Amino acid sequence: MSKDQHHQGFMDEQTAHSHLFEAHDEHLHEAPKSFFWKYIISFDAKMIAKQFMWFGLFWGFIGALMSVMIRWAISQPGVPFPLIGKFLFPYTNGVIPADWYTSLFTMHGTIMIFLALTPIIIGFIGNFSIPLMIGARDMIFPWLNMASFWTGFAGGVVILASLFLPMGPSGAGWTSYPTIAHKQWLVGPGHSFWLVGLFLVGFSSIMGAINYITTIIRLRAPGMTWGRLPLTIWSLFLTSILNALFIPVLAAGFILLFLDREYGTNFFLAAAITEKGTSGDPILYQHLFWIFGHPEVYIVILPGWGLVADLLSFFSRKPAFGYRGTVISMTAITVLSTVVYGHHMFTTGLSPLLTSAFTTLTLLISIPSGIFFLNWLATIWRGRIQLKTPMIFSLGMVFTFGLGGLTGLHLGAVSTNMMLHNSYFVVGHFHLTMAASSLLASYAALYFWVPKAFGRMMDEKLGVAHFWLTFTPIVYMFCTMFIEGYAGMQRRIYHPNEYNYLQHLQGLNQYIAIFAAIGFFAQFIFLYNLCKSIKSGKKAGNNPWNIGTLEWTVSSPAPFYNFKKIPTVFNGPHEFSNPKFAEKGLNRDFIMQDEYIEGVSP
Amino acid sequence: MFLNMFRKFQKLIFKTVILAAGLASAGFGISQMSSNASAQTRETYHQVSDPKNGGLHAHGKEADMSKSFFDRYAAPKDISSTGHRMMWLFRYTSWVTLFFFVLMAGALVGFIWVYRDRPGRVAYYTHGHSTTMEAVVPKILDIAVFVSLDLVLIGASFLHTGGSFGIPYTQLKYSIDHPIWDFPKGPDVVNVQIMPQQWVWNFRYAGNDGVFGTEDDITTVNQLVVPKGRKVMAQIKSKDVIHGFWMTNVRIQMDAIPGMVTRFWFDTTQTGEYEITCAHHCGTNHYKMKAFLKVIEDQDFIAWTKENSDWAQAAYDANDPSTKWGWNWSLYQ
Repeated sequence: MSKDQHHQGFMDEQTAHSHLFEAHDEHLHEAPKSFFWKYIISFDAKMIAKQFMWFGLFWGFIGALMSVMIRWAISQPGVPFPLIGKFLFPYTNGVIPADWYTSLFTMHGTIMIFLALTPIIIGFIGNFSIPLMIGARDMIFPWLNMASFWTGFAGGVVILASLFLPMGPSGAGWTSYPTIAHKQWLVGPGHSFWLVGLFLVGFSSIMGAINYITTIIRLRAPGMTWGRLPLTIWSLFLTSILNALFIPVLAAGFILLFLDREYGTNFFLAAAITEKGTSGDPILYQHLFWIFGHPEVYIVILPGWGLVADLLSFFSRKPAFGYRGTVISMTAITVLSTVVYGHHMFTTGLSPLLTSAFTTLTLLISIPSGIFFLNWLATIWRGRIQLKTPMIFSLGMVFTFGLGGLTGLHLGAVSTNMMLHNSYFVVGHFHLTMAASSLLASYAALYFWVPKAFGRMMDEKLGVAHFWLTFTPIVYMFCTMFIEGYAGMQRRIYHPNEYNYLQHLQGLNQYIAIFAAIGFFAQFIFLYNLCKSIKSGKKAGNNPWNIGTLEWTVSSPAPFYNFKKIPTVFNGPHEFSNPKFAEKGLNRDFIMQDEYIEGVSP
Repeated sequence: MFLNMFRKFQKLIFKTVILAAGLASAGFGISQMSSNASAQTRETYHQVSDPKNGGLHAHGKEADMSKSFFDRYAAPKDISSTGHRMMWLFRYTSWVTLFFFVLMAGALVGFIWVYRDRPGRVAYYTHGHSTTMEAVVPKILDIAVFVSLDLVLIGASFLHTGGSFGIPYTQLKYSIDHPIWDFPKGPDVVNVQIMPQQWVWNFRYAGNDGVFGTEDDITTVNQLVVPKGRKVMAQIKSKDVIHGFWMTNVRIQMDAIPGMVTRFWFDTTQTGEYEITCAHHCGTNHYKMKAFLKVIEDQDFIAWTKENSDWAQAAYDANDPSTKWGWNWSLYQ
């Protein structure tokens, strides 16, 4: 097919969308000049991405500090928390008290999932990469985008405020099961603040999701077919669908629970407790929560999968292996993730029919997971692997996800689940899959896109040090938790020495605490690297990594309105090392997506 | 050339520093641990349970280093007749996942090393379309994982020859469906009602008359007494929040949920006293919500029941709330 024919084909598509593109051409606004409109109320997706990034990093710091406090409380019972303990808990002389311990693990989970990982892996990656990678000037609904960030910010403020309430923040666990979440057993306003805060954060996610879905469907540049989308965009698309469908379910549960707490309704309170004759059901909440909760696991990790699939291809200088298979399996997992939530409730006395159905459906997920995982390995197979920081973090993510994914088999089958439910085995498993993998993917994304976002490269050596000091503790801590879970240690327990059969595990707990501290302090290397690089890092050219996707065609930092002229796309996102490049006289191993080369472009 | 050497040297120094830092912190941890462990006694452990003594160290027992790694951190002793099925399945899954994990990690590390960027290295151009030969290997591996792990897990959990359609019920050796769900009935079965509250486990036995909710019911707090070898059928409710009844030694865990009854059964093969824990977060003192499973010989149990039921009858006080919480057993049978 000749170049002209290609243009002809895309002309039709362009005509179909012409009102959008022309409207953009006519209204190329000047970039806002004042501080307020540039940095606070910004409608520019790239600035909103940076807002989400700082927001996520701030909360990530608080969440990580909480995890260190949790590990301290378990491993050093009765010992004051160093440095800040006396300031935080003056009435116990710095010792973390049991009631605060429940608040700590509750808020650690909540903050890490909703306020640290989600803003970075969906808010930052989504807002930064979607318009730039699909060749659009901005999100399709810039105002909604701005509102999404500030709604999430308001949610964050409410959660932050709850930390300083007289009775302390919520202590019901991040799952907030009734009836421990009811006012009768969780006094004080903390949990109501928690519900309101998370409701706002969820609302922010829904707004973002609608924006992402619509943008990806409507604003792809001419020639950017579904088969030429970077896998990052595919995964963000699937994540957004899950977000838009299932956060409303969670919101419904939260509203009912809020009414129960504040207005005396009985949605989740059994008649046996209230003795009012009206009857609710605490298990109803668990169904609502996990219908959302299981997809949420995939909401957090899917963007990481897509991103890592892209990065492995970029830094192996090799096309993504089995692009179509990866997309199909990610879609299959998205669908399957909505029908497996029952495995979180295996011990609630579900009938044998349900447990066998949920076990089978859960284990089915291993087929598509296996396919895209092996596609990752096949991507780096016979590549030319450049161990740049984003690549190192991606490879680390492949390792932790493989480890976490395989241990999911023990928990997915009801039979082995009966002895592991609510144990540290579960803690190790979900931290490796959902937390550590998406954390490493988030860092890969930050190292990868900071040059485009801020125009300066990050320091490679500090990046490598940061990786090893993050990755080693992660693997050590969560693998140790598998051992502890197998030995019968319950999760959410303040003081394992209460039980004779857990006492010999205390040595392992102390090791975990040491590694948690190492991992915590290692994050300061990243913060230092980020701040230093933004200020005085090496200037990044337009395309520092030599990659063909559209964001690397514009200057660094990316200009306001991204593309002066909307690009036309001819190639897939991973066109590397094609032997035909040399025949065409190219002295590089990649071509840009918007570059038409006779005989090479399809 | 010198610059190159200098850079290599720099890299070496850098790696050494990181390694040394890691080793030093690990060493610090070991020294901390060993100094702490020697000071541990039962007394300090009990004192720390007392919030007034919050300032005391309480360290667990030192792990028995003379044992092998697997014995040292083994699951608690299995005292049920059914737990070995779960243990077998757990071990099988662990070994096979370990095999695939080693394969995966080996491929990952091997590829990183063999295909690292160096002068002259050219990447192999392939999209891995499904028609190509190299796309077959991942699929074969994927199917191998599915067959060797998932199908075995599903099969071991649920496969047995019916018991319906006229086929007699015969279990496969490791089928787990039956130990979990096939609730026993009959005069030989010990029935127990369990009613947890924050942060106590209440147990109730039907007593001499075999009927729950009568004056001769035996109620115990934090102590579940069962006869060795007989099947025990339990019905659980909850007074306030959701608790999780977890006997690690029996490999059974069941939630206690306010407003509904959940059921499970178990049996025991060894006498002794074992710990029962709460598995669900149930409030500030969740970590202290401990009960004991006391397994005694059958004749001792019969005597125990008789004695305590007579005593309960004699001491019955209609105003005592502990006499009130039983429910009609047959409603949930």
